[in-house]
Amino acid sequence: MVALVASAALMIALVIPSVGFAADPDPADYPALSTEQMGHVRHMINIANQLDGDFSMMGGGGFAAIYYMSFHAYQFQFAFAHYALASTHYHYTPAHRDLYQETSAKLIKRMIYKDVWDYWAHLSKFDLTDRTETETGEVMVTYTEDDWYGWIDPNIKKNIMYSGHLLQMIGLHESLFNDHRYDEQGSLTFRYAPVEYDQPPFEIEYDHNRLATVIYDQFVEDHFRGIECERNAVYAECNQHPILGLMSYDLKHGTKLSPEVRSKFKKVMQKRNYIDPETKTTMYFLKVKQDAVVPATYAWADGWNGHAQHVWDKEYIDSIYPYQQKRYIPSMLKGPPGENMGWTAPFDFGWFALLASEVGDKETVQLMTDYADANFSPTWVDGGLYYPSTPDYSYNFSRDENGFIQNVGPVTGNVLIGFSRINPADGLWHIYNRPFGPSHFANLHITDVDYLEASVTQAVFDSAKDALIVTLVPGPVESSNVSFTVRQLEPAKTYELIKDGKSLGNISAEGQLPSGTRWQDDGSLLITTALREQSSFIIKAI
Amino acid sequence: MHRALRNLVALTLVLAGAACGPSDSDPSSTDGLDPDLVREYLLMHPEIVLDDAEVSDAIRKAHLRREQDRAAEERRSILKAYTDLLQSPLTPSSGGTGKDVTIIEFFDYQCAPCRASYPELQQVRATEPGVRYIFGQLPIYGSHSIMAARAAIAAHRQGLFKEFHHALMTTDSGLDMKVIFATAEKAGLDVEKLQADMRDPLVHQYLEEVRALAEALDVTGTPSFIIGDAKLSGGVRAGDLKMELDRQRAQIKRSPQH
Repeated sequence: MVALVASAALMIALVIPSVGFAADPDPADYPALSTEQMGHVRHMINIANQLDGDFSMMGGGGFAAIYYMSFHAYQFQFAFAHYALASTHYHYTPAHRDLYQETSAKLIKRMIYKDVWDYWAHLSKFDLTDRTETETGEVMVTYTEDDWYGWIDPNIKKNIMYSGHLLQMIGLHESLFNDHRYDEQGSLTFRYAPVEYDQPPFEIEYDHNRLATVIYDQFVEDHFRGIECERNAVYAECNQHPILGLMSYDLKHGTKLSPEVRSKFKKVMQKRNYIDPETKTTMYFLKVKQDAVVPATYAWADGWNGHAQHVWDKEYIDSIYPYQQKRYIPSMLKGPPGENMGWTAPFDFGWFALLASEVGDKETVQLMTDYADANFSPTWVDGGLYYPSTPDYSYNFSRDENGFIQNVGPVTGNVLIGFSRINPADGLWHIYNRPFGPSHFANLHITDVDYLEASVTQAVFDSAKDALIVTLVPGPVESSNVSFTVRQLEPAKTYELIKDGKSLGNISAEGQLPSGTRWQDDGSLLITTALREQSSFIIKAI
Repeated sequence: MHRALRNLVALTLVLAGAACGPSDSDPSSTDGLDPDLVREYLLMHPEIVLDDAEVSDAIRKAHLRREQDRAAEERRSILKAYTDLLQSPLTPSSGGTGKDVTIIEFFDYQCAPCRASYPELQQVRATEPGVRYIFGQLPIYGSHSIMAARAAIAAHRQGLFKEFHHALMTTDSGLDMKVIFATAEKAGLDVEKLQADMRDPLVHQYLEEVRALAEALDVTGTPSFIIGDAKLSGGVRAGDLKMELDRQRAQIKRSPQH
């Protein structure tokens, strides 16, 4: 009879958690970052933390490697690190905000540093699609006298390969953190001192509204066939980012710009077979003046375009992905020793791995991350994990003596492989289609974890159980104890504090607090604890 | 034609250097020339300027001087905006009261060129007592650099910055927490208080502000030196610093406020 009553009580507790008989939340039931995933996160944060003008570890090879037509450019490294950290925060640590919010702002600040965007003052002069090869193999770029004057402002016209990312980053910042700082006039100020133009230094002011308006107007002006990256060249993947940026903008500003842009963009571009219906592969680019698509079968183009289009066109991308996977994998991973893999080798891998993660092809993601671990020299620096760029990644595309890829460019090694390992199935899709609502921002969350001393591998508020679940691991700096602050506890409630499955006592406004905890003046709770290995904390209302 | 060209050169220099302040060119050499006419002539025959190496070089130098002057002016304005930070009780400094030239060094305790420059700086400090010297913590070599910077500011609170700074700059050991605390103890610091101060959010905030100053000054690595309104990047020798100090003093003497 006793057993029967106990059993019934357990059943009730499981079905109706709020009655108080429910089992404590188990941290193992919630997503948590693995050691490697946390390492990738820390590496991207380390990059964000560099001085604005410090581009260490972000690739070399001179001006050409980073600027002109470069798929390794700083802007892509900052932007994709931003998206990777957005996915991390949304899926693993939604209740750990300050670190991700500050890092997001730092990446945006780095993005508007002159060395990242001033290439446009030069590149905007050229129509790089209009090239001829001489007998000696030189590629000459032709331009007219009118073309000589480009645009210094990196957002005002074309260059969607920059401005589209900036819009997406700002939109994510606003939607993930409910932080409207970029709505303020002049919050995005571009400073330029164009000595070579014999002009005094000047500033170009943008904000979220102006940037969204400038980009939307270009879509309209271009009849939704996409905004050019450089002169005369529309790339499909570059136009996915402003579309996602407009989705976030709509969410917080009450507009409906993105549905129009994405439906018309797809219609216009489908007419031109931007994704070839036969090969299921994404075009290289569209030549605007000639209205001609340059077809291609590039893993990077499919990966880059697909992972982002999947956010708003999931069924379609899911339907063509298997063809693309079959085309590139596993032949990308193994081939004849010494084979020249072409100029896209250093970044094909990374963008395709990202697509595989977004569509939920866990097997391919596992295959590719295992491959990266085996062949791309995984390296830990100051708690961060990355794959260093190989020497001459811009020019040397041959497989090694065993037939494996030996080319890793900085965008793949710093960001994309880590992003793929972190991003769960439909990872970006969820961020945009199930955005955080007002209740999220009212929930319990933690702040003020010293980034040097501890990493937060999970921080989740389970509203059904009225419980905050947090797991910490030691950071790169050894420390006898660490502390963190719990915010938005309700004064009327009593909470139980559990560490690694053991109750440490109750927390209430009136009662005695567990050892190592204290109320702070602003009503938050400071928890200080020894941290020699992974520890999980649960703070649940009782 | 030769004379005309030289006159054009002179005028071009005047035009190019118009915004540069004091110039080496002699404006009197343009006597008798109508600037509008010369300008018009140059617009019609720009090859005169393009094809003459001497003129091209002079124009390039004028551009450079103008850029240097602009950057110096911007630095002066930034330093003025950060006066409170530079005079903060958390900012370690030594030497004069600031009536002479001020040097700000941005450094990291794990940066090899910073450590190599340290004896050179000591030499300058010893021979230039009037110079105010500000220690700008700019930890860019990872977590232990940040901890060392926090510890240095905490040591400053105990009045032992100079000793701790010297010990960290001259230690043969790589930095970790054991080394940092052992160094602190050897320097005579109360390590328990040091650890508490290292956790003080005010110390963290202070280091963020120093970093903001460095970024405003477009510092992109360590060591970097702001000497008066000039910037030197990378490791230095005492002679480099003295030369810049002399230049700054000469500039101050020339300035109308002097």
